[in-house]
Amino acid sequence: MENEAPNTVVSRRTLWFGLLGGGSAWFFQLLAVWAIAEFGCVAGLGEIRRGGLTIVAWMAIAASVLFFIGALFATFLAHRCGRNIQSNSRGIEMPESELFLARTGFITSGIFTIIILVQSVPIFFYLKEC
Amino acid sequence: MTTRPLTEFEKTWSPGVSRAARWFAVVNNQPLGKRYMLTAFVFFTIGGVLALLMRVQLTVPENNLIDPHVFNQLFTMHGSTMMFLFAVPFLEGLTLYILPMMIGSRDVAFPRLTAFSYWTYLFGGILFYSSFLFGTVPDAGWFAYTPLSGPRYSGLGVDFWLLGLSLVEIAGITAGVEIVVTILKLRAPGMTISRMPLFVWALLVTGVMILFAFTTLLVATVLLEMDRSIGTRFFDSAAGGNSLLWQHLFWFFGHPEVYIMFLPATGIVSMIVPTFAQRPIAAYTLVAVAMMLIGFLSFGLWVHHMFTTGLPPMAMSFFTAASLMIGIASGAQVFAWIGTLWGAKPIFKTALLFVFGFIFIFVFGGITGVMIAVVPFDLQVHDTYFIVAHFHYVLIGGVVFPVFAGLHYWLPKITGRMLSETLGQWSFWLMFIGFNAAFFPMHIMGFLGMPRRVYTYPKSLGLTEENVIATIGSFVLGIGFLVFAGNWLRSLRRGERASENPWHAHSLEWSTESPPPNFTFGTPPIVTSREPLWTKTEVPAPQNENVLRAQKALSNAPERWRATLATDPLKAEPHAIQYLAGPSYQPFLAALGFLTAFIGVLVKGYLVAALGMIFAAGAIAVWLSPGKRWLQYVASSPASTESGLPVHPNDRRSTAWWAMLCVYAIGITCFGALFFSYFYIRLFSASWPQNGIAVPELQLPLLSYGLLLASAGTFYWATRAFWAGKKKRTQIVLAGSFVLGASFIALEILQFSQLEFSPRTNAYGSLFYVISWTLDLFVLTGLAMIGAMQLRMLNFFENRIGFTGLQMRITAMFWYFTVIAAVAVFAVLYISPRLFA
Repeated sequence: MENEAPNTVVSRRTLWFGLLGGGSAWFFQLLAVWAIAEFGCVAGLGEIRRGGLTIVAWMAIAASVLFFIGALFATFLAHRCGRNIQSNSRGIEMPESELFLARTGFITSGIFTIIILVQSVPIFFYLKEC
Repeated sequence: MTTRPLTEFEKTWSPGVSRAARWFAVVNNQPLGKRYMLTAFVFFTIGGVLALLMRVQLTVPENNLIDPHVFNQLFTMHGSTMMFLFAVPFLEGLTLYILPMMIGSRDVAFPRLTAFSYWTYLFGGILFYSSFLFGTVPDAGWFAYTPLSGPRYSGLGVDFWLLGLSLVEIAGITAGVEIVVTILKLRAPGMTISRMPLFVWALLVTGVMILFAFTTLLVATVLLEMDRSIGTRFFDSAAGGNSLLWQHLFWFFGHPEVYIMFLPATGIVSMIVPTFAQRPIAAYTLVAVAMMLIGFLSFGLWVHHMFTTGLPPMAMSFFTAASLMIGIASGAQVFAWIGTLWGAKPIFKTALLFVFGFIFIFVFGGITGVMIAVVPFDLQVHDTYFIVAHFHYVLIGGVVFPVFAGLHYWLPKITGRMLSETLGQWSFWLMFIGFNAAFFPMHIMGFLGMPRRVYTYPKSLGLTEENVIATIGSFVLGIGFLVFAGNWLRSLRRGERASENPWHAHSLEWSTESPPPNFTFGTPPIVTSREPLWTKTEVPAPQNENVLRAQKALSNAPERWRATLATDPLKAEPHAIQYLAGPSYQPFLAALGFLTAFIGVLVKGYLVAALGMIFAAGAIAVWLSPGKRWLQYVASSPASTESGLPVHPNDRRSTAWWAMLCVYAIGITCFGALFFSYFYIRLFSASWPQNGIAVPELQLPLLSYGLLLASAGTFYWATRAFWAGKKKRTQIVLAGSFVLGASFIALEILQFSQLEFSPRTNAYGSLFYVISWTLDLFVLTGLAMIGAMQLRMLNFFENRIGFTGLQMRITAMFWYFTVIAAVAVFAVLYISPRLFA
């Protein structure tokens, strides 16, 4: 089984990462911020402040930034795959499946990148308390 | 009717030669799909009758027709039936029937697994409903919240609920594997991932969701049943357990469950709308994206069912955000359907009417869903009739209406007879009006404070009129269902004969006869566009030769064994000839073994339970062990030589390889749910381990887990020798892996005998033992696979590039997974208590 799709310079792993990376990043961001909020607040980390913010808020912000970057990276990879496929298939028939996967990945991961941003907004309402 | 004798090819695909075989050994997707749907409809009817009984009781205030205890049983059985025994199984049945036809395959990837799935579903449903015979009907609600469903507050009814539904969950998980692998591997040549019908896209997302969601529920139900039967303490707060853990596990399944029903329903709509608009679906890519978004997002919403349980406000706010997001993905699909119909001249057949009904009702239910995603609003209407109204708008509007649309659309293909349009339209309007009359007033009742799950209400509440209207509406809805049933029965005898493609539809299932033959396609179809029946073009030149060669080799062939073309998951290029197993009693016997085991647990006859499991394991072993001669015969078939494609490829071209990926997903979810439970209970415990228990010593576990880790190394060595063709060395080194694995089990038993606590001591003890037992189960399964591999090598080592090689690959994949899981278990059980004391 080949890992490289013929006629393209795009690996299938990259294509799948572009497609599923954004959604996975969103899921783990949600799990992380929920666990930080639930476990952190119960454990009393919401009472301890550093730089004016609670430890819980700092951890939630850090997790959100980390997974935001992950989703953004998946979006970027999907976009790059699409561009590479188009530029490498001039004059020959476009590899339809790979291009579809790249485009779908770009939209899906792009939307999840935005969702991570939106989902991070509630943190700013709880910067000083749980 | 033709009376010509059947050809060898047709005989091969016959469901069974004897009456008994046709009943119990059939593995063809068509009869099993029909059985699935029919069984689901029987449960649907029973669930509907239970609902009508509840409505009769609630028609007038202070009514004593049904006592409170019976009312509890009614709403428990109604909810559980509709969610577990009707909606998902019906869609699975429809999928099993339609999916292979739609993707150009002759059957699903694992026909015997389909049969096993059906029998476990049927037995689960029967076990669940047999509670009526013993007067111990489940009464803890369809979500069975602890502690109400725990051993202290409920009787044997909850055991019927847990064990019956566990069987149904096993059926669901196996169907999930079936759906995912069939879609990825058995699509017709040319049906690339960008040409898959949207129903298939929806099913692919749904299949993956089932693997994660149903496994979580299975873990939860097993934990609760262990609390009830052997005295573990997972949900017993008096012993360090936590009732909210059940809610987390249940709703981690429960919310995706809604979308597991909804996504295939939207897939149905996405097939019907283009057909009756006679134009391709608008924004195909965006609809596929929306389905993936829903698939992901549905796993991030479970906490919005728990807003009233006292979670930190910060934690809840994240789930509000995620809950609002799913409206965007659902809305995108609605706009795509409207866009497809916009400017077209739709043909207003009954199927399309149901689609319009769906869009109206579902959008309404979606809007109330957005309302209850907001915490302050949810706190006001939680556990009121507003919620009952909301989820019936979503589930009946979002699932039942599309199901009826699908039935009006596909029944002519399934039965070969057209339904009456007049009766169809009558049933639609009765259902549409009845539904809205029944459930719209419930929004008002909820606002005005009528609580759900209460058998009556005071007259002073002033809700008599609304309740009377709701009851009348529910009966009108029931009459609508009856009219549909009459229409279907009438069509079987007097319906007009259906042509191949009565709707001038675009997808492949309409290119076969109505009803289709057992083999579906004599000659495998080739696809060149998204709407293969509307735009037939030539196969592009580079793939032409290979594709046509494969098609020719499989044209009404092979004659004496069942096969279909296996293709690449992305580009759908022919990869292999997929061997499909024929009729067998083993799936039925395996399901019977499971039923026996579960009945054993129910009556606390653990010897019976053990015998049942041994019987099931034996049946599965026979089912999975084709004989050497048969394998040789299949491998040397002309179909393989003529097509130039292998029959049993031993790598990613094989369906078994992809099924193992599904097993990984199931295994990861299983251990993930157990680890989550461990840390969740630990979070709320004052000390860890609880009650001053000492952390288990490290010496013995270091040795046992070390041996298991070493077995991965010897296994790797064995596979190297195997692929190098060194039989003796392979056998010896693999035997070494077996000994190392068996030593692990022996040392585990020794370790358990030395522990100062038992599974009954407290929640920590329960978690420690159950996580260890789960790992032991994986190791024992792996050892059985190694044993089977040794047997296979004894007499068929030379088949390394074929079935024997595949068996080695699968065994290795399973063993490596088990060893990785063991490392994780060691870290959780032995390292983490020392790190975070």
